[in-house]
Amino acid sequence: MSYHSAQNPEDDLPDWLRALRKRQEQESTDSSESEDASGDSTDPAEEPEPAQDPDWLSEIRLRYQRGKEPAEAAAEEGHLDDTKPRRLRAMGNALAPGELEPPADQEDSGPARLRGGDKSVQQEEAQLPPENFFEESATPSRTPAFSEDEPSITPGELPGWLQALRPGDFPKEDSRSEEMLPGSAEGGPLAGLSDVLPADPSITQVETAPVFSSRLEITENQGLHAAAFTKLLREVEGPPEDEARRVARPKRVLNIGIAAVLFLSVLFPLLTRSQSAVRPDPQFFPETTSVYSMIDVLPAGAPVLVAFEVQPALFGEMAPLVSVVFAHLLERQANLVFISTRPAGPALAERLLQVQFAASPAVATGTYTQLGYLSGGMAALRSFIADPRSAVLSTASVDDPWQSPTLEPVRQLFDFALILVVSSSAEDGRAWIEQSADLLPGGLAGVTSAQASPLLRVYLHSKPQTLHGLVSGLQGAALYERLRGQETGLGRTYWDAYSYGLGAIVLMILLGGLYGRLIKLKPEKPAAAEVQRGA
Amino acid sequence: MALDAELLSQIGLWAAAVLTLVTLSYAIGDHPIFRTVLYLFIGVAAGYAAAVALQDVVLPHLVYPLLDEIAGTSSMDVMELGVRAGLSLLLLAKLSPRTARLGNPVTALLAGIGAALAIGGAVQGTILPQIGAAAGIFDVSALDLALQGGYYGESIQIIFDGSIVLLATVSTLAYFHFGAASRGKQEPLRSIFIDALAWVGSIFIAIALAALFSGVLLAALGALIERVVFLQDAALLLPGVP
Amino acid sequence: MNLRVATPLAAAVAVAAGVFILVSLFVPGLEDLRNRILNWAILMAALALLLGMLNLFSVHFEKIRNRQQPVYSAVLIIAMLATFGITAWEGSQGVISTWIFNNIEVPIEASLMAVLAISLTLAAVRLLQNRKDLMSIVFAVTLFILLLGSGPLFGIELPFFTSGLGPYVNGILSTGAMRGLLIGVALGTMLTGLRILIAADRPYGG
Repeated sequence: MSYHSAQNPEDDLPDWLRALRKRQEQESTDSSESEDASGDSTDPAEEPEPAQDPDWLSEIRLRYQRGKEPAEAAAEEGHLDDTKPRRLRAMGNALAPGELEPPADQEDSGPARLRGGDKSVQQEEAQLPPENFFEESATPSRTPAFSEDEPSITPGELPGWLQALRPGDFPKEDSRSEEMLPGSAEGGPLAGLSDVLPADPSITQVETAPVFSSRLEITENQGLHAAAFTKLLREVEGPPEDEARRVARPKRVLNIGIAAVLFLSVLFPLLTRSQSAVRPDPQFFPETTSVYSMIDVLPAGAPVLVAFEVQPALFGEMAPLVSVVFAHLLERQANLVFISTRPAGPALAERLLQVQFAASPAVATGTYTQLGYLSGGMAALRSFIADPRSAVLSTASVDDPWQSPTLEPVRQLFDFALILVVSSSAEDGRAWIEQSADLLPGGLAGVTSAQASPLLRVYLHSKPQTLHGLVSGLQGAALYERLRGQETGLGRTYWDAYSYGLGAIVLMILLGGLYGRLIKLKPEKPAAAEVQRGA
Repeated sequence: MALDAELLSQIGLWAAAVLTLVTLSYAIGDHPIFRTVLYLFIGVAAGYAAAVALQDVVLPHLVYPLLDEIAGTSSMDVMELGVRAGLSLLLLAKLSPRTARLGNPVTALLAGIGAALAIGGAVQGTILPQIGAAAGIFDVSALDLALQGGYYGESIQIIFDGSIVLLATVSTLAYFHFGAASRGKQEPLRSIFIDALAWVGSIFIAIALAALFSGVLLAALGALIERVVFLQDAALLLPGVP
Repeated sequence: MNLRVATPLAAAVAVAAGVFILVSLFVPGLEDLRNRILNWAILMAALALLLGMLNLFSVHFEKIRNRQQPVYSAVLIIAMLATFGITAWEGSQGVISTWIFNNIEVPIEASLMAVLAISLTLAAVRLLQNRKDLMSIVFAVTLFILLLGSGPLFGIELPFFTSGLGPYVNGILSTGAMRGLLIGVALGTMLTGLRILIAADRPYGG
């Protein structure tokens, strides 16, 4: 829309506005005077035929008429007339009662504002130009809508419709605005103003925040689901604590019982100094006989390398066996040379020699050699096996063992008359066998603990043969003593205790298995069942 | 002040006896005194091993040659000494998390050497000799001699035992064979023959595990006997006991 | 050295050292250099043991500072430092160091092994209660035979087991299975070593 002065202001107005003005003039003439408003025909401008209402406006009017009873609508209109701008009032009176009724089929559909509720109409009416805008401006209609020459509004005097549009004049009967306005703005930045939209509660609320209950509010259905889930979880979890204790109690009693039986079965023959148990027959142990034979043919003064790979844990078990083998070696006047890849090896060898062979001339005079500890596992083994002299260094600060009469003729490992691997674990024995396989055609002899025997026994039959003899455990000690014809010795002392302990173990395994299967030890079953469910 | 050897020996005997009893009491259940003794053992074992490594390896292989070099009485090639000192310093960098990466080449050296020796030992020391043993059971010349000598029973025994050992060896290896042919969208399955062989292998593995278990049990029984003997001797050596 | 260079350098060192050692095992003429490298490894392994002790010290010192079982950690640290100091000063053959070794370390370690006898017996007693499949039955029967064949029971010898069945199970059945296990272990060792030599596995932190 262009605002410009025109010589004929009516020519610049849109058609609809022109028609509206015309109609208003006619209505005002009819309402105020009975005279025919045709005298207005002196209006210089040719007034066009009153144009029909725009579709949207007539629709609104129709909906409005249909949405309310005529009396109600009239009463409301009358009530509203009190506050409604004059122009709107005049406009409303001019409307036919049924003109604004909404279509019957649209009565309950669509948003409320389209249902011809008086509220929406009121708002829409409020948006329309005032009724007597054109009436008052009839005189002013002859004046341009906008004039730069003289102000159409006297400063300080606002037209009625504009005053009606001010927030303060907003009809209070607007229920929608009442819903939006639970009360007048009593506090906050909008204090004193009525009919205002409520402020954000976060800026108007001055009282303290309410304290909410921490109690979980659940419905009955939710409670049932929670109970079922808890029950399911309990079934999956382990046994309750008291049941676990019930399971642990017999296990602890069994533990104590086994310990007591073993302890007593071993102690009894030691206290009675029993030596009645028959020692094993050598013909069934050819590998032990091989070791005996290898040592028995050693010449006097032959250097024998003893790889002492014994752990302190099994020193007690191996002491009888190592004692009888060392006794045989010392009897053959072999020069023992000790080395170990375990830190405790040299100390254990020294302990054995001092405790068991303190009276032996060789030990008493110190005619044995300690090469000490070699760190590095397989690397140390390989280095020592390939070149013994370079692997074990000596300086002026340490006595050179290689200068001793025993080791002076030894240049390579195969210069030793016999290499004896005294090992408590299969891994150490296997490492020696594997690293020396290609450099020692003569192979090794093994003196091992009972736990290493099953794995090392396999090397007895290898091709080429890497292990030429094997004697192991307390059984080997008793056997070796029998081969040497000894009636005394640690092997003989321990053999009866070993026999009784073995018998106790076999008996307990047999009885325990039968007891568990036949009598069905109850506390074990829940634990077993729980373990199976957990597995 | 030099301690009396006798007194030291007596104190040592008491200490060993008490420590033995506390450790054996674990059979009844775990308790704080046992745990204290366990931590004491770990400390002593670690300290002892480190001291032996220092005494027997580090001092003669590194420190003494360095001191000799400084003193002018060189006992080792300078280059060799330099390499050892350099490698040692790099390894000591592992002490700090910031410089730990500097020690990686040294640990890599150890890992590479260990791997190579393990391969060599496995091939030369185990695989070839054991395969030779598995094949050598059916020594044709030995069987021929046995048959010629009329030892038919022994010959059959040799063949039967050899077959059992070979079956045990092959079936045990088959148990750990997990390769299977692809069957498209279906789950791959081992062949029936391998499955049957693996089932037989599981029986032999159970036998082998039982042999290992019995070995450990008998070794532990031997250790128990030795400890009981020690306690018996200690009790007899206590003062006042005739 | 730039720390970032250390990573591929470590892999190169591992591969080079490993390949050289492997080749020298089969090719003559390289023994001197191989032994020299192996001696370096011996020294480094001993130093690594010392570093391990220091690491143990720092771990338990932290536990004392954080009050996580401080008494146990204090006992460990005191024992470790005392033993190390005395043994390093005197030598492993010294009076006090020998006393510590013979009267503290050996009794405790031997007693721990003795307790194992009770635990293993308990495990054998409960063997058939927990599992009843073919493997456990074979295991139990074999264990029974081997124990009966290990010596006389209560002084009474059972020749059928000690002279017949026991040696047969040990020498034939068990040996065959052990052979298979050993070959398998050796093959696995070979494979693991090869993976390190081609730098597929880098356990050294590269």
